[in-house]
Amino acid sequence: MPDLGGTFCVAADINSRGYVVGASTTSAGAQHGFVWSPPSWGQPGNIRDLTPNGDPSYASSINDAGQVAGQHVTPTTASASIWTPMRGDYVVKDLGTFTGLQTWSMGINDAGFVVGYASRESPYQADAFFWQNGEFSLLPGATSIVYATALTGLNGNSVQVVGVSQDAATGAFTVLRWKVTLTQGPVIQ
Amino acid sequence: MLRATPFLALGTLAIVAGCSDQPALTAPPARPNPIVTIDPPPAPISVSVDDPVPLKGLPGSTYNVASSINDRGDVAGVSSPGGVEHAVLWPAGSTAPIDIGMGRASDINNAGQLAGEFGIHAALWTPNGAGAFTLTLLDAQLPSPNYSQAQAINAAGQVVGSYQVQSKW
Repeated sequence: MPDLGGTFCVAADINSRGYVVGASTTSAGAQHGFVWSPPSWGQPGNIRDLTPNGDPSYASSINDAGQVAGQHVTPTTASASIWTPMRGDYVVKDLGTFTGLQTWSMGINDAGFVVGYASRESPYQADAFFWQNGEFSLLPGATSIVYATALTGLNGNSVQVVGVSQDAATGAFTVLRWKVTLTQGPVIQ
Repeated sequence: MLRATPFLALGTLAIVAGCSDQPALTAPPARPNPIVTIDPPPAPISVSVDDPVPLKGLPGSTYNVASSINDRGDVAGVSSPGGVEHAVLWPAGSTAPIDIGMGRASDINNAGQLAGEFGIHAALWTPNGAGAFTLTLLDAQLPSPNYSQAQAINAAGQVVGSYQVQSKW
C-alpha cells in the first residue's frame, strides 16, 4: 500500500468493502489519518489524506458506510472526530470535549455510534465514553483511568462496548464490558 | 532507518414529489406557490448504561486488555499470565477467557477469526470447529522479514497491519 510520503504508516482497520484506515506521516513529518480505497472497476487503489489542510489527525476505525472515526487536532482543540464520505470528499465532524477533556475515538459501528475516551494529564485521568447523535454518555468504571476500545453493531436497541480500566496504584489492567441501551422517546409535535 | 508500511493480505489463503389536479387556467399564475415542507423534529433518544461487567484474565495476569468485539459479542484481546502475553477470547456472554496461545489478538470478525501478532509475526487464528484454533503466520507473504503485526480483519478474512522495512541504517 502507498503512504502519505513519510517514513511511518500504520493500518488500523478494514471494513467489509476493503477500505483501510490508519495513520501516516507526511513528507513534512506530521501525522495524518488516511483512507485507502481498494482497486475498483479498473481504477487503481487510492490513498486519501483526511486532513489535507495540514492539521494532525489519525484514523482508528471505519464502518461499512465508510464513516471514519479518529482524532482531529487543531491549534486549539484535540477532538474525537468522524469523517463522513460525501460526494467524493470527506466531511469532518469534531465531537468536541467531554468531561472537560480532550477526546479520542477508538471505534465506530454501522449505526455511526462512537466509543473512545476523554483524557487529561497531571494526574493522568481517562473517562470512557459512548457517543451518538451529538451526545456523550459516560461509561463508568471503578478507577480514574477507563478506556473504551470497541463496540458491536446495534442489536435490537442495545450495543455492547468493551474497554479496560487501569488501577493507578498497582498498574493492573482489567477488561470491562458495558451494555448500552437506546430508547426512542415520544415524538414532540 | 525503520520504515513501517501497511500491508493488505487475504488472511484465509493468499495475500493478499407530488401532483394534484389543477383547474384549467387561461394564464399561468404570476408566481407559483412555494412548496414548503417541514421535517418533524427527531425523536429524542435516551441512553442508559449498565454497570460494567469485569471479564476475568488468565490466572496470574495483571495486564488484561480488550482489543475488539464482534457483532456476536465475542471479545478478543490480551492477557498476561506471569507477564507473558497471550491472545485470548472471551466468548459472547462469558466472563471467562479462552487461552488462544502466546501472542496478542487485535481484532475478531463475525466468523470468529482473530488477527494479531505471534512473536514478531503478523498472525491469524482461525477456529477449527473443534474448539481449537489454527495459527497462520502472515509475514511469509511480506517482502521484508522484520517485525510485523496484524491490526484488523474484516468479514471476508482480509487482514491489515503493518511491517517494518529496514531501508537503510
